[in-house]
Amino acid sequence: MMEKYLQIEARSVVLIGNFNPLIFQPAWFSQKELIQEEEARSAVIEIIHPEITKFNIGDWLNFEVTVNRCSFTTAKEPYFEPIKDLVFGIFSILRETPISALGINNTFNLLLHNYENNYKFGSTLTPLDIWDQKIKKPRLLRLEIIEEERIDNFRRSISITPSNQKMGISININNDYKIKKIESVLDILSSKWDEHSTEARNIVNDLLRKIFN
Amino acid sequence: METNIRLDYDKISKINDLGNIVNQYISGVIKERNISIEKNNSIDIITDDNKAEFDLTWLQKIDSKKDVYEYMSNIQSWTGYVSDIEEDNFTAKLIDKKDPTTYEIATFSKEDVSDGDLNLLKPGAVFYWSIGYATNKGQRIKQSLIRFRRSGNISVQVFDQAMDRAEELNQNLTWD
Repeated sequence: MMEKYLQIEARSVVLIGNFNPLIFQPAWFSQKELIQEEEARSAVIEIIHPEITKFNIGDWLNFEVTVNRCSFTTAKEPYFEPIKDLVFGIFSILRETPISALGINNTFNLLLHNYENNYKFGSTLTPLDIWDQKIKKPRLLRLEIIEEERIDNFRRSISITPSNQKMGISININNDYKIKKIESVLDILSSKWDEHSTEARNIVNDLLRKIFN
Repeated sequence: METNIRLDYDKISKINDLGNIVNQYISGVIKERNISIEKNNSIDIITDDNKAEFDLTWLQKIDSKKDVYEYMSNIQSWTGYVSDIEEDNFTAKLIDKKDPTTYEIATFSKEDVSDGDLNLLKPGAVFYWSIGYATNKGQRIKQSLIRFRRSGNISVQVFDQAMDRAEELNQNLTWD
């Protein structure tokens, strides 16, 4: 079902903690054999600064780290596994890094093709007719659904926002873990990565099926 | 007495690999079985301050330049385990990411491996192989991508043992 609408699928890993942005450089990634030498040489560096480091590796990795947030993003499916390995490799080395949260995010940019589909999508998720008397032609812009309680330090949330394409939407499924030890990050990446990927696709497929079938 | 525990992440990674092979295989078998049950029974499918959430800005940029951004779709992916290396080729056992119930054997040319990954080509090395269609500036091209994993490789013997164990577990599964 999803293939009919899917434009871009992205995967990102976000860590909250305390980081030293100066450590995170393409040359260091390569020196630790986490990426290819050529990739490090051709990295497009936006900034390397004590407060923030930002660069792209090839056309597959967007990396950004500040003193309290570190994120790895790819919008290329063949690199979903390599991005997990990269995060695993980095934090296997930087084992003293204090980390308080880990997010595994699966994002799907969908193109709903026409106005009717777009309206049906929004009005199924939130009954728009209840707004008729207060707002002219009400439409859904953003929506976020969260799990009421955090269970075993885990909580999932789903947000829906407009994408940059006309009739486009972005569905982001955030799997958020509270972390006490860095070993938990490595364990979650190893054991939950595939599971979250399958679940995310199922969530989007089910949603589309419920709305358009 | 204070005890320092040092974890060997390379070993953990290898252990996880074995678990993953077995898990992938068994979950594939269970998935197939569930699909078959679903078909037969016509079952209906039914803010935190420190939230580690994705910042959509970068993706929005890509989305707006999608006509020039090379993006692969209709992708098939395998995890490969190198079993044999010859002068120009290498042979690998492949597990399909979407159907991990069996493995296939395939031979690849070394030319398919990027120069930066050639030093990783060893027996037991793990790699990811994807094929799909890339769209670049309106052109649709079939693409194949091999990328070697940079940690946690396993020996062919260990791979075979893991597959045997998975097969054994499969034989012992009983369906109500």
